[in-house]
Amino acid sequence: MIDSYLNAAIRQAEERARVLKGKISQTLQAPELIALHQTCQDRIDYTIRQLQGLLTDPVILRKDLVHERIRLFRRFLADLALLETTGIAALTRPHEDDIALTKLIFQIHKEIDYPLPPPTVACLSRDYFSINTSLRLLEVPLAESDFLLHLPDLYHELAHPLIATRNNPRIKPYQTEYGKFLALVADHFEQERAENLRSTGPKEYFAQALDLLEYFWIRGWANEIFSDLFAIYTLGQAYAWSHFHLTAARGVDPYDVQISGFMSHPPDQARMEVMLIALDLVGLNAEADAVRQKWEALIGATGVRPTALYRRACPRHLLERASINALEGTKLIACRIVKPGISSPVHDLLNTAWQQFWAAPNNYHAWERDAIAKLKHGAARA
Amino acid sequence: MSDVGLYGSIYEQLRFYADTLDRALVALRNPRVDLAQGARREIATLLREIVDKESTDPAARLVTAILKQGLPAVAGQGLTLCESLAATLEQRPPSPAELSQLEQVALTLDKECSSTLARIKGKR
Repeated sequence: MIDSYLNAAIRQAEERARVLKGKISQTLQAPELIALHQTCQDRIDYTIRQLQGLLTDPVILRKDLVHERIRLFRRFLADLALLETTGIAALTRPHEDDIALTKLIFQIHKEIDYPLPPPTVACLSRDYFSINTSLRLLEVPLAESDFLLHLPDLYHELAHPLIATRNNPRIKPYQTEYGKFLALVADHFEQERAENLRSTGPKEYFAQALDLLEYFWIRGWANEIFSDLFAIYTLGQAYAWSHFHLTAARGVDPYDVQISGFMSHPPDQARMEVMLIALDLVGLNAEADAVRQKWEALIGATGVRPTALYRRACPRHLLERASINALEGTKLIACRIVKPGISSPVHDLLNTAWQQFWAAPNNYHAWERDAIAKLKHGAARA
Repeated sequence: MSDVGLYGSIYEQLRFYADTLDRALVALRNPRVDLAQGARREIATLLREIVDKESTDPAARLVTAILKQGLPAVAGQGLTLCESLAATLEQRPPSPAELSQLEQVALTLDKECSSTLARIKGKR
C-alpha cells in the first residue's frame, strides 16, 4: 500500500522540480547571476534523475529496501525545498543591491586571492549573514548593502566553503589544518574526561558536560572560529570591530555557555579572544590593543563576568592553537594575509569605515552614505 | 554566520555520508556480485573513516561526533559498533543481524539530517 503512495509522491516531486525549472527559465538580468542559475538548473536536473531512479531501479523497488527508498526520497524533497527558498528565490527576485554586493565579493575574491569561485550575493536573509555552501549563495539582510560596518562579515562567510567543499586539492591544506585542530579538540576533551574520573567533584555532571562541549566544538564552534580567523587574516581589524558591534547590539552574555541544548556558536568572548590573538600574530598589535580596550569597556559596561564553565569550555590553549592552525591553513592556500601597511580598495574601505566611525561618530553617517554611493556607482559602471 | 547558514553547512556534510551509506546499502543487495562487493568495500571504508581517531577530514570528524552522541541510544554500542561492522564487511557479506545494525547507523545519520533541516527551517 505504501508503494503506491510513494510512487505518486515521487511523481509529484518530479513535477515540482520541473515547475521550479520553469520559474528560472527566463533571460537573466545580469551576468553575475549566471553561475547561480547554472548551479540551480544542474541541481534540479540531478534531482529529477534521482527521483526517476527511485521509480524505476528494480533493486530499490524491492520490499526490503523501503527504508532506504523513503530516506533517499525525503532528502531529495528537502533539496528541492531548500533550492526553492534560496537559489530560486534569489533568481526570480533579483535586485540591484544583489548585483552590487556580488560585484563587491568578486573584488574581495581578487584582492585576497580567494581560491574558490566567488559566491553570488542575495539580500534575502531573514536572519543575519549566511552562506549556502553548495549553491555558493551568500545571503545578507535586505538593508545591508546600504551600510559598511557589518560588511566585514562577508570575509567570514567566504571561509565556510573552504571547509565544506569536497575533493578540491587547492584547498586541501586548509582543510587539513582544520582537521588537525578538530583532532586536538578531541584529544583535549579526552584528557579532561580522564581527569574528571580522577576528581572528587560531581563526576556524572561533568562527564556529560564534557561530552557536550566536545560535540559543540566539533559540530559548530570550530567552524565558526576558523571563519572568524580567516576574516581577520584576510581583512584585519575591521572584522573584530564588526564582532564588537554585533555583540554590543545583541543582549547575549558573551561568557554564556548553555549546555541545556545545542549551542551552535561559540561564546562571543571566545571569538573576540581568538581575533585578538590573530591580530597580534600578523603584527597588527596596535590595532589589537585598540580593539581590546574598547571590548573590555563594553564588557565592563554590561556588567557580565566570566563563569567557571566558560574557561572550561573555551580553554586559552585551544584558542591559541586554532589561531595558529588557521593562519597556517590560510597561508598554505596562498590567500593574501594582512600585515601593517597593506593596501587594496575593499580592505581600505572597510577598515577606514571603522576608523571614521571611532574618530568622528557624529559625522560618520554622512561619510558612510557618500562612501556607499560611490561603491554602488562604481559597481553599476563595472 | 547565522544559525541557518551553519546548519546548512552541517546538513551538506551529513547528507553526503547519509546518502553514500544509503546508496551502498541498496547496492549491497544487488544481485550482481561485483556491485554488491563494491558496496561492501565502500561501507567498510566509510566506517573506517568515521572511527579513525587520526583523521583530519573535517566531515568525517563531524560524523564521528554525531554518531558518538546518537548511536549509544539506538544500538548501545556507540562507535565500537562501527568498528566491528567495518571489520566484518572487510571479510564477508553481512548477516541479517549485521544488516540491521548497519540500518541503525543509517537511521541515526538520517535523523540528524532531518533535525538539522528542521533547524534550517526555524522549527526548533
